[in-house]
This record gives sequence, structure tokens and C-alpha cells, in this order.
Amino acid sequence: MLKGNVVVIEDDEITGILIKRIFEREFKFNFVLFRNGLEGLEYIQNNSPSLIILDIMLPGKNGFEILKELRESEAHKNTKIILLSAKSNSSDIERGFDLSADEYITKPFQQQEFVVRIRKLMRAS
Amino acid sequence: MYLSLTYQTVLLLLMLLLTTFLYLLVYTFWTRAKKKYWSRYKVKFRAMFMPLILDYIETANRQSDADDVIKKLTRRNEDIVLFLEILDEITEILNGDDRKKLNWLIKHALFDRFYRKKLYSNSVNAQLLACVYYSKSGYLNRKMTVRLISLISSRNTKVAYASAKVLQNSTNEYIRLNTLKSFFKRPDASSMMIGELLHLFHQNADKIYQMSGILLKQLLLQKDIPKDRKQLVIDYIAYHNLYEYSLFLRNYLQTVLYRFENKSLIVSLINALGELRVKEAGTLIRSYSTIQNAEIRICCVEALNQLGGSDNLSFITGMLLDIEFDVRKRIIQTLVQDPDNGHLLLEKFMLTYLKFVSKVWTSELPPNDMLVFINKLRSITTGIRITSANKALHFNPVQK
Repeated sequence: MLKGNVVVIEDDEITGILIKRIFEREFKFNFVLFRNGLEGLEYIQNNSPSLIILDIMLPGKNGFEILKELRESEAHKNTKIILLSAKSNSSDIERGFDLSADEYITKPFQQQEFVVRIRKLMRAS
Repeated sequence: MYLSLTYQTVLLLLMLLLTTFLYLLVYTFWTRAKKKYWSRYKVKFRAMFMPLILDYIETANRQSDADDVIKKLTRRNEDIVLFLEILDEITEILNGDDRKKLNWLIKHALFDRFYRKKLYSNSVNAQLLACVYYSKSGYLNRKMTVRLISLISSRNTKVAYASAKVLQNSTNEYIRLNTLKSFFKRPDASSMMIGELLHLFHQNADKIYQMSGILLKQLLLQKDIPKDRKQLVIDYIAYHNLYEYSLFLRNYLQTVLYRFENKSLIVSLINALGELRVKEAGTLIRSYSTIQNAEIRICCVEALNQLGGSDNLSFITGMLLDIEFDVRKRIIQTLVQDPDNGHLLLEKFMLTYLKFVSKVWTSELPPNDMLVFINKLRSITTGIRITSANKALHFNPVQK
């Protein structure tokens, strides 16, 4: 079982609960959930999570801005970051990868597929 | 006696005022308390059912597993609505097998019974709730279809729209088409409603795609469907790049006679032919560019530019001497944006007319009407200069 710390910044209550359940069931990750972009970013900057899951539409600071800021800092240059969003336009996905996201998962997703993608990403690291 | 009557009236008014104030005060506190109660209840309800539903998604293997969750739900209207709200939210997050399991819950007989009663009730709100449920569950039988068809002619636009949406789940293409036809004829139907219905109509028609194509054509050929609705169908075809309609649209344009009331329909058709790049429509669009209507001529310029090809571009350049300023402006903008053919054609045009102007200068007695012509040439060259400068500034913003 994969181990580490995961920070999820997601303002939607159900998505947050769902991801938490998935992580509790499938991985041995310490799970921290934030509803606000700014609070989440502050936490990440003071800690070193092994995986970050970001929603795009967030109060405080949006997912793209957080991703950009993290990639610009030395400490989080290589941290695994997944964007999770209902925005499925090719332009949004392109923007996410341009900002060096490691994965872009669109909602709705299948739980099993979500697990497989995280496992693959974490093994690659 | 007089004083006492005034006194009594004032007293009465004061009492009335006080009673109203007290009533409003009680009403405010009561509604606040009610709202607070329901929001607390909602939180409690969600905290109880959310894990149940998520557990169910993880463990369910067959449809009957949904009964275990439903058993825990009371038959209260509020609980049913709250439960479906949660299901609705989860459906937006989960897909695939998880969604299939959620659908077992959504399509449970309990909800069907609950909403079917509402569908047959006379309350507009109940009808709307039922329509929302059935458009999500996708469940539709013959008896319900009859009821929903009758609701399309409801006085309430929302009910008519919601029932038309449910009927787009029907597997019978003709029911879906007739729903569209009936709804399109409603004067209160908004363009957004029509757009969404068209989308549902086309989206759900994957399996019988060709058939849906024929049916959309029928919508356009139907005489009793208002022109603005037909326009929306054409815009829809162009927006979604439905190339299979290309030749049909060209032939359709041929049948539309130019009259003022047909202007918007013609504009939509020409725009669609341009966007779908229907090369075969070039000659027809060129013939429309002679119509004395600037809006039509402008869209002809755009469509011919989209079709491309030297014939069409040369034709556009020939239109530079058009009487309307807006048409000339659009032609210049179009040609300046085309670095290859457009620039060459503009250069050729300028050279031809410069020669002509120099001839006028050298002639001893130029005809009087030449002045109007030369002014127009000056306007065109100024237009080219301004548009080119704008383009240069756009690409080199530092020079600003």
C-alpha cells in the first residue's frame, strides 16, 4: 500500500468526502482537506505533501493560480499535483498541463479509475 | 361627540397597526425558526444518508441492493426530495459503474410512485418536480407520455418546457420530433429553451442518427414553424458542425425568397454555409451579395471568405466599390487578415485604381460624376491604411 501525505483542496463537500473515503480505503495516506484555496496553499507551503489534489474553481485562489505558484517555488517543483475539475474543455486541460500538472481528472469520474491513476502516478515518482 | 369619534378612529388605527406589527414579528420569527430547523435537519439528514449511499456504491452488486438503503428512508415528502438531492449531487461526481448503481437508487419504485402522483396533480410546482425527476431518471412509459404530451400545451411555460425535456428521453423519434414541433410553436418559448431541446433531441439520437438528421430537416421544411425557431435550428447545425446538412442547407437557401421578413433566416443560412465550408454554395452566396441589404452583403463577405478559393476572394475584392461603408469596411478587414491572397488582391486593386486616378488627373475635362467615385476610392484607401495600421499595432504593441 502506498504511503505519504495528501492535501486536497476542494470546495465541494461531497467530492471531499468521496476522495477522503477513497484514500482511507485504498492508500495509507495522511489526508488533509481544505475548502479554501488560500488556506490550502498556506498549508502546503509550510508542509511537504507527497501528493496534492486541486480543484480549479475555488474560493480564495483558483487551482491554476495555486498550481502556478507551487511550480514556481523550488520546494514544490517536483511534488505530484493532480487537477480535479468538472471543467472538461480541452483549453482548460491544456492550460493545466501547460502549468505542469501531473494529471488532470475530470468530473464525473469512476472511483476505480481514479485509484488506478493515482497509484500509477505515485509509483512513477 | 366629535372628539370622541376622532379619538375612537385613532385608537382603532393604532390597534390595527399594532396587530399588523405583532403579526409580522411573529411571522418573521416563525419563518426564521422554520428555516433554521430545516437547515439543521438537512445537515443531519445528509450526515446520515451520505455514508449510507457511499457504502452502497462500494458494496452493491445488484439492483435489489438499493432496497436496503431505501428501507431506511421515511416516506415524508421532504426526506424524499432531500435524498434525491444528494443522489443528484453524487451523480455529478461519479461515472461508470458507480453511476449505474446510483441509477438503481434513482429509478427505485418508491420515487416513481411518489413523482407519478405529482405528475398527475394540478399543482404547477408538483408537475415541475415530477418532470425534473423523470428527465433525470429517464423513465418513461406510454401512459406518462400521454400525460407529458398534454402538459406541453400547459399555460405555464416552465411546465411545458420541463415536459418537453422529459419527452426527449423517449425512444420513439416521432414523439420527440412532435414534441419539438409543438414546443417551437409556443410564442413564450425562449431561444435558450429551444437550444437545449434541440441539443437533447440530437444528442440522444446517436443510435438513429440518420433518422434524426431527416427529422431536423423536417423541422426546417415545416411551414407552421416560426422563422426565428428555424433560425435557431440552422444556428445549431452550424455551431455543432453538422456537415451532413451542408447540401440540404444550400438547397434550402435556394427556396427562401428574399423578402424583408426572411432576412434573418437568409443571414443564418449564409452564415451556416460559410461556417460549414460548403464550397458548392459559393455561386449561390455570390448571387445573394447583390441584394440591396447591407446585413446580407456583410454576411456574404464573411461566408465567401470562409469558403476561400481565388474565385470567392476576387469576388469579394470586386465588392470593394460597394455603396455601403460597413460592407467596404468588412471587406477590407477580411482581406487585410489574409496575408497571402488577401494582400495580393488589395495590392492589385490599389494599383488598378491608382492608374485610373492618374488618368483622371491628366485628362483635361474629367466627367462630373468622377468626383463621387474618387471620394469612394479615397475612403477605401483610407480604410486599408487604418486597418493595416491597426493590424501592425496589434502584432507589435510596443510601438503604441
